[in-house]
Amino acid sequence: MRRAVATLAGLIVVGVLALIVAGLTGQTRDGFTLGVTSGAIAAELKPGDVVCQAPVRIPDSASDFSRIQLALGTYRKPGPALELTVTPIGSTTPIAQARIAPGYPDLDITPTRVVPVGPVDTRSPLRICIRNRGTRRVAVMGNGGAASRTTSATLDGKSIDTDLNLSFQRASGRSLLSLVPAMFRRASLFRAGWVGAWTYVLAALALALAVPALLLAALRSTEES
Amino acid sequence: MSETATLPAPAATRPARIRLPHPLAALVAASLLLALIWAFVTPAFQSPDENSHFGYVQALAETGHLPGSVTKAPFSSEQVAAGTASNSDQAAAVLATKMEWNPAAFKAWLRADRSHRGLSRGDGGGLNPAWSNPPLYYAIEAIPYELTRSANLFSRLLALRIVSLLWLALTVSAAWLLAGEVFGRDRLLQLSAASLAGLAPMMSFISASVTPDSMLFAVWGVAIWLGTRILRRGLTTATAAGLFAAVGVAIVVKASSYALLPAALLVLIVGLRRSGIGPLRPLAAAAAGLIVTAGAWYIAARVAGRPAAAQVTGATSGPGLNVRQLLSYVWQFYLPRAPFMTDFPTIAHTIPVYDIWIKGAWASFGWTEVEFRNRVYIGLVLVMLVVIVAAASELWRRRRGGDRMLVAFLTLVPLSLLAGLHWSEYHLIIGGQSNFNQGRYLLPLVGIAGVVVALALRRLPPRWRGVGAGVVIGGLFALQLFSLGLVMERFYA
Repeated sequence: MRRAVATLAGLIVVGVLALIVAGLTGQTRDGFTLGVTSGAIAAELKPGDVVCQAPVRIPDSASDFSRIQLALGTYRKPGPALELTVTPIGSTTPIAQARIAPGYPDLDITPTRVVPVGPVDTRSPLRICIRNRGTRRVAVMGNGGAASRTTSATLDGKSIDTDLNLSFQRASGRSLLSLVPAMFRRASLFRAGWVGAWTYVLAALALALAVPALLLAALRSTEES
Repeated sequence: MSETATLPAPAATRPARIRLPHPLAALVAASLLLALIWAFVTPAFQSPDENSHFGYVQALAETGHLPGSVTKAPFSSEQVAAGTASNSDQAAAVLATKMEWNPAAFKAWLRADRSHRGLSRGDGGGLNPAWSNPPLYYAIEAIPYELTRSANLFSRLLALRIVSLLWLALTVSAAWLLAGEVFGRDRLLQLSAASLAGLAPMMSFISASVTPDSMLFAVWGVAIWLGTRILRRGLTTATAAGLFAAVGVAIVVKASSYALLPAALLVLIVGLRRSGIGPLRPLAAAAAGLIVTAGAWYIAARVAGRPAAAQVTGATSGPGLNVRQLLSYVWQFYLPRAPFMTDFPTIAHTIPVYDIWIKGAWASFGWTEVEFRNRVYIGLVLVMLVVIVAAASELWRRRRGGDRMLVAFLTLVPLSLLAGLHWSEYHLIIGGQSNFNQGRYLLPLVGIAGVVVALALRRLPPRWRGVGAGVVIGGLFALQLFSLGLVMERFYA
């Protein structure tokens, strides 16, 4: 039975270590997302048109971003130049912006494009706008207006019943392990009122210590009983 | 001569004091702790149909009536508001969408909830996807709902999840008892068999959700154990009543439990033949067990004008049977399509047995959108093949002393369930609907799967069985760790 218990203990240790290694090596650039998929053309931009999505809020301190991912359809021609701006609502001065050079391919070749806009960490609500600076039309992909329940899109200032597929990414990847405190805080939202990040710390301890102890006790006691 | 004749008679004439064996107690504690962790990790309404099951409980607790009113909304205003604020409706089944992460949004919901409390809980109870389910599980869940009535919706949801996960203790115990009947008092094999029920990630995830499946696993476990006990120890009036009462309770939990009836009837017939006692009392007891449970629900449903077994009747009311087409569908579920066959529509990316049964039964979280990479499931398939081959080899090795009727019973239960599920899905597909089957529908068979694992371990030389049990338990624990990590990453990273 000693060999059996040692085998189980070894597998438990290996499992916990493997999870930690996976957490260290698993990287993510994701800051946050509006949760909109590319189900349809959300807005067709003719030359000079501008489509905006607002109010976009950075949800928490682990969600700051430097890049915006979007999906563009070019009707099987090289895409036109675009300007992307990030502007606090109530202001006219962008706090981050970028230009997408013309000539990019259509959706079937590049389903999404990631545009570096520079670091954004404000908690103010933001307006994300895409202006067509080229001479051809371009489709900004997204979905129906219910897709993002807290933000909405406008085309040249007029409300449209669609949402843009926008995701917000950090400049560099972060390990999943470094995000654990943020994950615990996020997990504690929309729960019973007394649940907090501490609940998940306890759960992690129970998972790493109490459950293995019980399993080892169970295996060991098969001999006694 | 049957095996039962060679089994020792019960040792004591007076009732023995029930004492929970230490390995089982520790395993149950570990299983419940894991399920409790799942209850906290899974976001609100992010397990299959949990919103509908919660809506059912809420309608029952708030109005005293079962849901299904065509004049009412599927969900209460309170639940709709909570779903909207938490983004749970949008996140369901869509990997690209997360729950709401903004603490300010939660605080705003809490403020709004306090100002509206009590105004909008009872206006649900319409035709939500769970409305036609039998009521037993939901009636039990109404108790924690009542006890936490003054708390906010997410607190009530947690209370419902906690009561739901308690069924896992019975599921694990039933698997332990089943293995005890099959292998005798071999604690190592019993622990290994019951570990599958307590430690498999899908068992923890589903048991820790608001869903009748958690109770279903437990009641099926008890029914399978009782059937095995009758075959091993002989039929009595009490066990006949118990077996059919368990089957009846399972039917009042979920209509798919009609699949238990053929195997229960087999046990009754074999039990009567082996016992030599008059058939009248056991038959009456079996009928009584079924009548006071499923029969009572059938009458109540007829009086109330509700479907008693919507899942069964709904699946047979479509277009008529075409045997060749049915065989073609079943073939294509388990094997690559032959060139002469018409393609049967499926949501599976490869072969449905892999995409639906194997992936879905091992690890398919959220609304089934949260899965590991393919190589993990291929590894699991290889492990399953090794276990099945070892178990079959052990069965063959011991074929002379074995009880063929027990093997027939433990084979008939899964076959009946599979037949029912495929029959339903076939009719739904030819009726123009999509795939119906989910891997979790096989989880009521976890006790039998545990017996297969234990059989495989018994194939090992005795000195290596302990190590084998350690590998089984350690492997399941490692899978739990990574499953929880996967879900944390999907929803919160």
